[in-house]
Amino acid sequence: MDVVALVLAGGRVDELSVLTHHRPKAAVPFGGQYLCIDFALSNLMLSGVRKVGVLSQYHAPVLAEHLGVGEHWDLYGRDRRAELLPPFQGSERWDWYRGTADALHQNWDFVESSGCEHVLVVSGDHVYQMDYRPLYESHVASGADLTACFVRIPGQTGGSSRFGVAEVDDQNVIVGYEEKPARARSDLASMTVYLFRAAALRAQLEENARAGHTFQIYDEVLPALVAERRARAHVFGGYWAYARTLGEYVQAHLDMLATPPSLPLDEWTIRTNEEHVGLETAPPARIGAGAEVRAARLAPGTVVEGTVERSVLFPGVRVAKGAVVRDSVLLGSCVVEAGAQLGGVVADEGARFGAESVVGAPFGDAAPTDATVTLVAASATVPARATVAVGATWTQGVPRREEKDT
Amino acid sequence: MKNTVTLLLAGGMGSRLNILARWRAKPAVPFAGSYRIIDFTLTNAMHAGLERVGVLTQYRPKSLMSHLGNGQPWDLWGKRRKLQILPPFTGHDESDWYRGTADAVYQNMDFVDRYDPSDVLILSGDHIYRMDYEAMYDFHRAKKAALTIAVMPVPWEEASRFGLLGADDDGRVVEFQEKPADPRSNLASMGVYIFSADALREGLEATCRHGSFDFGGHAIPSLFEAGRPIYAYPFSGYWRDVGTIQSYWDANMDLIRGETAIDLAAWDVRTNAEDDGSTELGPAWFAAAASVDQSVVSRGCVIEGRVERSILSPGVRVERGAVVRDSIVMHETVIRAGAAVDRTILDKRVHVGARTVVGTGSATPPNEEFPAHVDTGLSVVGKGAAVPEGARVGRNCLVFPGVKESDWQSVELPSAGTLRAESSA
Repeated sequence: MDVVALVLAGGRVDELSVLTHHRPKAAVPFGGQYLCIDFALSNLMLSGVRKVGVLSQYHAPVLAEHLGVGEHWDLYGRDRRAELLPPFQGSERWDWYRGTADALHQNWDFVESSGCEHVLVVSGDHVYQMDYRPLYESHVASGADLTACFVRIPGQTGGSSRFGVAEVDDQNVIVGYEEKPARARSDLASMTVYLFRAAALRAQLEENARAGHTFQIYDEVLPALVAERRARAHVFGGYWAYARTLGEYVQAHLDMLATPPSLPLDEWTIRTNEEHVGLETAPPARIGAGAEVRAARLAPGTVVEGTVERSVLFPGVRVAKGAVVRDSVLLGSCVVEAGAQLGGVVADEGARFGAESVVGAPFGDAAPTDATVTLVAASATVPARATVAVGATWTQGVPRREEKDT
Repeated sequence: MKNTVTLLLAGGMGSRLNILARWRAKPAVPFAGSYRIIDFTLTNAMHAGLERVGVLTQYRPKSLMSHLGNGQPWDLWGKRRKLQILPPFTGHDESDWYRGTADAVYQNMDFVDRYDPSDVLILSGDHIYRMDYEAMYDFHRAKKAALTIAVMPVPWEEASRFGLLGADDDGRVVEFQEKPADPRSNLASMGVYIFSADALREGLEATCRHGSFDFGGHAIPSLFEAGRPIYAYPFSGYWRDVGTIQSYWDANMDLIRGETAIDLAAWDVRTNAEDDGSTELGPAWFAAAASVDQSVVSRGCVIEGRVERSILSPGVRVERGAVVRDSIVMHETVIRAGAAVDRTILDKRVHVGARTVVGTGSATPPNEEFPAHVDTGLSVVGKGAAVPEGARVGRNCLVFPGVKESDWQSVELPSAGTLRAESSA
């Protein structure tokens, strides 16, 4: 593949509340042992892409640490590289990235130095496994300036959509595109996976830098190419999760737990920075006497002596005897003390649940929503026997430390 | 411990582990789910900050060498840090295989001399323990010892299996007994030695030049007879020799007793996960039908059946209705629906067919071919072997590595039986 890839990893995503207070969405943990960006990076690795730039802005250092020199995704070698591309000051440019198109424009020298004919732009936020090679082949064969990827959302047509929605003709040429329309004209939702011809993208970015307003690809670059009928759609049929709200984030985790799972994690190949996510030092999960674990995923380093159902536990999580964890996602090193009851909880790293505390409630048969997920901030402590209401965000008991940003 | 060099003896055959160690060196035998036996010694070396470690290999070193890689998982890779594999070699005078532990060290004295160390640690890659070598080194220096030997008390009834030391109140060794019939001490040598460099050379020259080649048998007693100060360093934590199938199984089962025995997290044991492919595996999946009690479950495992008091390595599958009890199951082994596995060690990539029973019937008769190795009721299925659908395998059975379904003349392998692949000798 004659492709250089750029991963969009700068955004914060306010809907994820305290999960993105101290990290960008792309660095939010997902799936028991990964960060969201691992899915895009693993897809690039499996597709044989050799040069990858990660566009970052909000809380860039966590991504720098995770990316390393790219060796975990086979992106380190004589003709392979992964580079973090944070905003920078130059003699002429001094701005923060104003949007995704601006970020690409400011880093055009990275694209140029790769010498590649095509530029693949993917979001670092989404959960899916995709081989980009069929996309590349159809893109090259069609001669399009842009081939954008879409998933079909059943029931989207006619209703409002949170996605970019495309209309296509019978040759898959995009004839209409609307971002987050009130009335969607099709069931095609954008995955934020764009494959551009480099020369065409460059011309668009230069024009955009002169005359743009939002400097967003979806808002200005893509519509301009659609207007000239130079953009095509590629439809992806596999599992894809947006995971941009708390409800979606939990649902995507629950999707890994059913029999058979709709998110077939065991069939995917996802790699991560083992050291950064705490896997390098984590022993296998240990299940104690009398524990019950079903419809669950347990990362290495977990210790379960209580009951865990329909939940995902990240490395180092401990669930004591008599504690019950249902419908929950517990990030690294959370501690659930004896007799605590958790239902529909998302707990950030290092949260502690005191003995016999009651936090949230299981979803029952309902799908999780932002109103039914109970959120506990990183390193927060729920005191023994305390109750935290369904849908609340618990931030108390965080050990004092110097605030870096407010 | 800046001025030390470490030699790790990893060449042993581990013959009593039978088919678990026939095609791999004993230190490379998988242990505790996602580790190999040698990881425990290498982890101790890492925590002590050892910088120059030579690993002496001989028997079937391929999987061991691949596991060791460049030493990076144990922080033995850097400008001053080094893990060097030291295989046997032919030279002008010495063209032999290593003839014993002392000989192996003697033949690699140029690796030691290159760094001109004050002291040399000699470790074995065969044991499961967490030990602070720095504390032992401080003891060694404080006593101005020529040689310090780590010892621990063992039950008197087992003492005759070990090399035993008698020591005075100051810790100075006053007596040696090598696997004696009539033990006068219960302080057993753990196979962990710190020699001053000159004492090591003196001991090796005295013995290897005279046709005797082991530390326990010759090199150490000769120093003792020469009146050099030898001290016993007392160790009191967890330490197991996993040289037999039963002791290997027992030590694995110590994992599920929690913090009282082997505590992998507190010991901070490191391994080379990249080498066994487990870095591409996700968190373990417990399906809705799963039922798991008192077990260790590694990444990439998919459990839809029942697992009790067992140790599962990465990528193991236990299908619906299958039951695994009191067993050790290694990497990527598949146990099909409705099968039952009891008190059995399944090596890597074993295939247990649907409704098969492994480990059933009388545990009394020892294995007919290997009565000394397999006599406690445990059965072992070797790497890559297939047990066909509906088969019944007894206790004290051995199914050799690579046995195919077509090698089964009957679906019954009675207790004490051994089954080989047609192509294997």
